[in-house]
Amino acid sequence: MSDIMKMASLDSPAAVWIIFLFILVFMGFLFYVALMDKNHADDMAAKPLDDSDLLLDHEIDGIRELDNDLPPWWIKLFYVSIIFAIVYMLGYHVVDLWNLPDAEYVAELQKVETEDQVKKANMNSAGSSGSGAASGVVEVDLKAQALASGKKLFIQTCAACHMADGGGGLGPNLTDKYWVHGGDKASIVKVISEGVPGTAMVAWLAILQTEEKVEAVADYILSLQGTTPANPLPPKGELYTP
Amino acid sequence: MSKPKETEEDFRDHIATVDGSGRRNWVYPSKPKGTYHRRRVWVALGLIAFLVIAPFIKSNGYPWFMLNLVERRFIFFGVPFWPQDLKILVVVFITMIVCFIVFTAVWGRLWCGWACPQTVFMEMVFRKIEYWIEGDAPQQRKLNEGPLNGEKILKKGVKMLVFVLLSYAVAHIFLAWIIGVESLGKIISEPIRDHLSGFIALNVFSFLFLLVFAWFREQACVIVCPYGRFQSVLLDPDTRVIHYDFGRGEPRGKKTKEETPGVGDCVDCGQCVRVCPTGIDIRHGTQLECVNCTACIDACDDIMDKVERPRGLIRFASYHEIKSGVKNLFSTRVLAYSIIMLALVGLSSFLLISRPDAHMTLTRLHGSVYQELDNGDILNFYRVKLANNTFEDIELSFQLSEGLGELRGPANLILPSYGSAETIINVLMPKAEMNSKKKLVTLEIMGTGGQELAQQDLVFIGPFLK
Amino acid sequence: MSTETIRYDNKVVLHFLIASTLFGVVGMMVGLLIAMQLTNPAFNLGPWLSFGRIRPLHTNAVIFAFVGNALFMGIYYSLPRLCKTPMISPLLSKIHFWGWQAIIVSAVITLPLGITSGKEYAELEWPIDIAITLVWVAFGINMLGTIYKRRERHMYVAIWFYVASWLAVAILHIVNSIELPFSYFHSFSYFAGVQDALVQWWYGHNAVAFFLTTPYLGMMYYFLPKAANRPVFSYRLSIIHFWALVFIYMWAGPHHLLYSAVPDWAQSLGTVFSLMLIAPSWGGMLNGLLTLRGAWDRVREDAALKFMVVAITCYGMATFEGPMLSLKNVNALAHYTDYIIGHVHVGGLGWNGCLTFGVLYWLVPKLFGTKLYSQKLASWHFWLATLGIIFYAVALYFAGITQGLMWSQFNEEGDMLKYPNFLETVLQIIPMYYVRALGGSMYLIGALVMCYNLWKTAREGDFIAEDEAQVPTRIGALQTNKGFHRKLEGMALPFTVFSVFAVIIGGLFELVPVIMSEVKNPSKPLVGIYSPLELEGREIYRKEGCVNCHSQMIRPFRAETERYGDYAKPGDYVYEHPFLWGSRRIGPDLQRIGERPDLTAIWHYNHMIDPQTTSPDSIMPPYPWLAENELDLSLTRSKMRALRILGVPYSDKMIESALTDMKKQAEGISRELNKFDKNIDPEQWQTELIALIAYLKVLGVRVEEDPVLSETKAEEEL
Repeated sequence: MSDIMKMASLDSPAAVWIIFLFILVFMGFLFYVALMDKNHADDMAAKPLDDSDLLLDHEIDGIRELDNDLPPWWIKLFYVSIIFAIVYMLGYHVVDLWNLPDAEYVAELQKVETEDQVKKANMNSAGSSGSGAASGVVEVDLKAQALASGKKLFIQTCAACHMADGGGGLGPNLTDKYWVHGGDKASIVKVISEGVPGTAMVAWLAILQTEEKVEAVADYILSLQGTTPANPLPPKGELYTP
Repeated sequence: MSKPKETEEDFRDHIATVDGSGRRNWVYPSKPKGTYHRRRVWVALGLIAFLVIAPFIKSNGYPWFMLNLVERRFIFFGVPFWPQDLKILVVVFITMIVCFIVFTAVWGRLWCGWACPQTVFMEMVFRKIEYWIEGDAPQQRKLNEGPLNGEKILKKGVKMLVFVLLSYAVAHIFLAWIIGVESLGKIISEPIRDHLSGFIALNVFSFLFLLVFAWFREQACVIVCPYGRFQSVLLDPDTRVIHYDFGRGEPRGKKTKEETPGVGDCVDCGQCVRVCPTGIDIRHGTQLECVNCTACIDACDDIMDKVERPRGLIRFASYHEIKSGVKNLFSTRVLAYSIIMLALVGLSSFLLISRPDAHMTLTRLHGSVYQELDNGDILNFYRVKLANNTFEDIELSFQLSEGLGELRGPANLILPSYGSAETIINVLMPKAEMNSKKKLVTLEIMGTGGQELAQQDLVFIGPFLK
Repeated sequence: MSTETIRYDNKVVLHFLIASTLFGVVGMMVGLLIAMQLTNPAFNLGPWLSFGRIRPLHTNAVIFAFVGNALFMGIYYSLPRLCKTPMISPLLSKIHFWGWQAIIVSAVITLPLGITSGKEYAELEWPIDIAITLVWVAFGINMLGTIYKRRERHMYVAIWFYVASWLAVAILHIVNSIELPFSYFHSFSYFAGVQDALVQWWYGHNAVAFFLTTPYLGMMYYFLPKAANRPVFSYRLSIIHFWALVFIYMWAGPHHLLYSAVPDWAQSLGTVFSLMLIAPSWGGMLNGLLTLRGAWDRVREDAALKFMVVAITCYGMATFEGPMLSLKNVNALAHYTDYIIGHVHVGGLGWNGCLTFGVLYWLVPKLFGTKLYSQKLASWHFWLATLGIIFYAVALYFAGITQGLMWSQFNEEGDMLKYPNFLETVLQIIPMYYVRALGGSMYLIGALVMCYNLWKTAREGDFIAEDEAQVPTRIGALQTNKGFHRKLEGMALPFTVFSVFAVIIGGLFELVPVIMSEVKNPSKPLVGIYSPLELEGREIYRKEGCVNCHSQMIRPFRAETERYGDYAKPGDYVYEHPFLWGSRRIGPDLQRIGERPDLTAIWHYNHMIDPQTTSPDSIMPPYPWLAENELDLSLTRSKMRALRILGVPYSDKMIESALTDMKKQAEGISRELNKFDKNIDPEQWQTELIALIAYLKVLGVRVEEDPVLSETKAEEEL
C-alpha cells in the first residue's frame, strides 16, 4: 500500500497520475449513474408539454411573456461560478494556498536563479572528467562559458567599430598593450559603461543593461591581448603592463 | 414515448431538448444510414486521420505542424513562422472567415454537420460507440428507463470508461498540435512537479470534453456556439439548406401502395424526427438547431424507396427552389462576396509566397540620438535584428546603397537555421554632408552568395539647424 | 374600468433618434481618423486633432452621443407605452434633449483644446460634469415621475433595467467627478493614486455596465419581442438575471487593475465577480436568442431581426470573453494590449451598434407610417457591419496576442529580453492596424448606407407626431397572488429602493475600505513631490493626452521589471492627482522613465519634436508646438494651492518662490540641451517642452527622502 502511496507524489510522471484519475473518475461516474438512475425513473412520468401553461396571463403593450424555465445547466453554471469565487477568495486571502502577485514575482525570480545555478552545475559536471576534478578544471570551464558569452556580446555590440578580431577600425586596436583610457580591468569596465563623450564610444551600460554583461565583455577583450588581428591599427595611448 | 399532440406553431415556443419544467429532454436519435451518411463517415475519417497523424509528420527536424506558444515557434505544413508573421495570419484568418461566409451563403450550414470537431467527434466517434455498446435508440431508451441491474452497470460502465479514455486522447492530440509530440512525451513521462500547470490544464480539458460529449452534446450547437447563430443569419431564401419540400409532401397522410388523391408524399412516419441528433422536426422549416447533418435526408429517402415514391422529399434546396421550383445558385450578393473572397485568397497567397527568407527589424540603438565626433562628423548607431524563415543557415553581409555615408558593420554574420541573430551597425556622415537635420540612407542586407535579402531606409539625424 | 385617450409624444423620440444617428456617424468618423493615425502619424493634423486629444472625443462621442442618445430614444418611446401614460413633463423632455446635446457640443470643443480631466470616459471637465448632473436629474425626474404616474401597475422588465441604469449612472458620475477646480476649466481629482484608480475603474467598468449594457438590455426586452412578434422566452429568467446582473456588475471594476498597485483583495474581488457575471449576462443573451428562435424563419428576410441576432451573439461573446480576460493569468498577457480594444469593439460595434441599427430599422418605418425604403440596402448594411466587425476584431486579437507574446519573451539563454526595444513590437502590429482601419471603414460605410435608407423612408412617409392610445383612467390593481417579485413589480418605490441597495453595495465594499485605510494609514511616499516646473510638465502630459498611449504602471513580472524598472507600489502614486496609470501600451510604459540613464534631456527634446528622428517608423505623433508654445505660468500657484488642499505637502515658501524655482530649473535644462546641440537656444527656457522634459526626467525616480521636502524642512528649522 505504501508503495502505491509513494506513486501518488509530485515526482511521479503524469502517466501514473492519469491512471489514478481514471480510476477515480470511473468510480465517481458509477456512483453518479446509480444516483441519477432513481431520478430518471421518476422523470419518465414527466408532464406533457402544454403551451397554454407557459404563456403568462399578462401582456404589456402587446408584449407577452412565456414562463419557460432554463435548463438546469445555466443555474449550475451560476452556482459553479459562485463556488469558484468562494474558493478563490478563501484560497488566496484566508488560507494562503496560492501566491499573491508580490510572492509570485519573488518566486519567478527565484526560479530563474535556480535555473541559472542548475545550468552552471550541469556545466561543471559535464566539464569535469569525473576523476576527482581539481578546482582548476572547474574554474576554467566556468571561465570558458563566461568568455563565450562575452565573445557573443562583443561580436554583437563592439565589432562594428573595433572589428570582430579587435584590430580596430573606427575604434582603437584592442589587441595590443596600449590603452587610451587605462588598461586595467576597472578602467576598461568604466570606459565601456560610461563611454567617452565626443567620440563614437557610447555609454554601453544602458544598452547591455547589467554590470555582469559589461564585465563579460571586458574579460573577453582582455583575452584578446596578444592575438594577431587581420588589419591591426597602430597603437594609441599609454603602455599598460599588468 | 411519442410526443404529445402539438399545434403547428408550438415548436416556436420552446426548444425540443428542454421540457416545460426546464429539465433536459434527452435526444435518442436513431442510427443514421444511407448515402449521405456514408459520405459523412468518409469525410470524418479523413479529418480525424489528419488530426491524429499530422503532429507526427516531421521535416527538417521539426514537426510538420507546431503551435508552440511558449517558444513562439509556429510551423504550418512544414513552413516556419515567427510572431512577426502573425500579421500575415490576420489576412489568412479573415480570408478563411469570408470563405466561410460565402460558403454558408450558398451551401448553408455544411460546416456544422460535416467538419465541425463537435459533430465529427460526437456523431462519428462517441455516438457510434454508444450505439455499439448500448444499441440503437429504442434499446438505449429502454436501458435508461429500466432498473439498475448488472447489465446496465456493465454497459454504462464500459461506455463511460471508453468515453473517458477517448476524452483524454482527444485532449492529448490537441496538445500535441500545440507543443509537438516530443514535448508531450516529456510531459507524460517526467514528474508532474515540473509540469503541474500543464497537467492540471490537460485534465481540465479532458474533463470538459467528456462533459460535452457525454452530456452537453447538442446544447453546444443550440446554445453556446456563436458560429451556429452567425451562420443562420447569413442564410437567405436562395441558400441551399436542408429543406422539406412542403409543396410535395403536404398534406401528410398514411399511404397505401395505391394513390390516395389529395394526399402529399409525406407519410408522417416520423423517421426524420427520430433520426435527428438535435431533436427537431425539419418539416417545420429552417430552425436554429439544424446542423445540416443530412441524417433526415437519408431516413426519408429510405422510406420513400419503401413506399415507391421518388427520393428527395427532404433534400438540399433553397427556399425559393422549394417554393417555385426555380434553382438560383448565385445571387448578386453571393457574386460580390465571391469576388471579395477571391481577392482575399489572392492577397493571402501573395503574402505567404512573397515572404522573404529573413525578417529584419531595424531600430536606432536604444536611447541614442547621434554622436558628434571631435572633427564634426556625425555618427548614428542602429541595431539590426534578423529572424530566419528557412531551415538553412544564411551568411549575411551589409551595405549602404547610395554613396551617402560610411557603414560600419560586422564583416559577416551567420543567421542560423530557423534562428535569429542581431548586431549593431554604425553609419558615419561627414560634416560637409549634414545639410539637414534628417537624412535618409538605405541599408541593404545580402544573403548567401550575395543575393539581396532585404532593404530598408535608415533615418540619419544630426543636430538642429540654425 | 373606464378608459381615456392619451397621446404619446414621438417628437422627442425623433429628436433623440436623429441626434444619435448624426453623432454616431461623427463618432465613427473620429474613430476612423484615430485608427488611421495609428497606421501613419501623418494623420495627426496639428495640436487639435492629434491622437492624444481626440481619442477621448471618439470614446465620448460613441458612448454618450451615439449610444446615449439612442438609449434615450428607446426609453422615451418604450417607457410611456409600457406605463400607459405619457411622459409627465414635455418641458423636462426638452431640457433633457437640448441639455444633452449641449454637453456633447461642449465635449467637441473642449477635448481637442486639451481641456481634459485625464480619466477615461470621464474626461469632461468640472463645468460640464455639473451640467451632466443637472441634465441627468431632469431626466430622472421625468422618467421616475412617469413611472410614478403610470396606469399599468406592474412594471415590465425593460423598466427595471431603465431604473437601475439611471440610479447607477447617477451614483457613478457623482463619485467619480469629485474634483477640486483651480480655474474656470480645470480641476484636480479629489482622490490620488491607488484610490483614484479604484474609483475611476469602478466608474469606468460600470459605465460599460449601466450605460452600454443594462439600458440596452431594457431596449432589447422591448424592441425584440415587438420586432419578432414573439413572446419573451422566460419571465423568471429575466428576474434572476436582472438582479444578479445589477448586483454583481458593480464589483467587477478592479479587473481593470489586476497586477497593479491596488490591494490584492480588491483585485481578487474584481476577478471572481467578473466570473460570476457570465451566467447573469448569458441569461439576457439566452432570453433574447430563444425569443428570436421562435421567429427563425423570418430572421432570414428581415434586416432588423438579423441585426438583433448579431447584437445578441456579440453580447454573448463579449460577456464570455470579459470574464476570461479577468482571470489573472489571461490578464497578464492581454492587459495593455490591443486584444482589449478588440474585445471592446465586439461589444461596442456588435452589441451596441447592431442593436441600435436593428431598433432604428424597426422604429423609423413605424414613426413615419410606412415601410422601410429598401430591404436590399438594409441587407447590404448588415453585411458591411458584420464583415467590418470581423475584420476589426480578428486584426486586433492577433495584434494583442503578438504584443503580449513579444513583450514577455526572453532570449534563448533566458537572461535578456528578446525585444528590449518597445518599438520592435509596434512595427509588427502596424499592418494589423491597417486591417482594423479597413474594418472600421466598412462599418462606417454601412452606417452611412443606413442613414440614406432611413432618410428615404422618412421622406416617403408622414411623421406621426403623436400616437393615440386607449388607456385606463386609473392605475390597475396590484397582483399579489403570483409571487413576491410579481408584487414587487407593482410597487415602484420599494423596487427603486431595492435597486439602490443592489447597485451601491459593490462600491461600498470595494472603495470605502481602501479610501479609509489610506486616510488612517497613508502610504509612505516613495517618490518626491513635483517641483512647480515638473507639475506644469505633468499638466502638459495630461493636456496632450499622453495617458491614452502610455501607461504608468509596472506590473510584478520579470519581463516588465527587466524592461521598465522596479514594479509599482502604492507609495509611488501618493501625489498623483489624477492618477495617470493609463490602460494601453501603444507606446511603452513610462512609470520609471526618469530612471533611464540613456534617455537624456536631449533625447526627449528630439523625440518629442519629431519622434521619427529618434525612433524611425514610430507611430507617435510629433509635438513640435511644445517647443514653441510659451509655458503659461499664471496658474502655477493656484495649482499648488489646490493640491495642498488635497494633501500634497507644498509649503508656503515653495508656493511663494514657485516662479523663481521654475526659472532656475528650466534654465538648467535648456543649458544642458545647448551643451549638446549648439543650435538650441539656452535663453528659451519658458517652453512647454522644457516643463515636460523636467517631468519626464523625475518620473518614477524613487528617493529615500523627499529632497525638496527635507530641504524645506531644514530651512524652516533654521
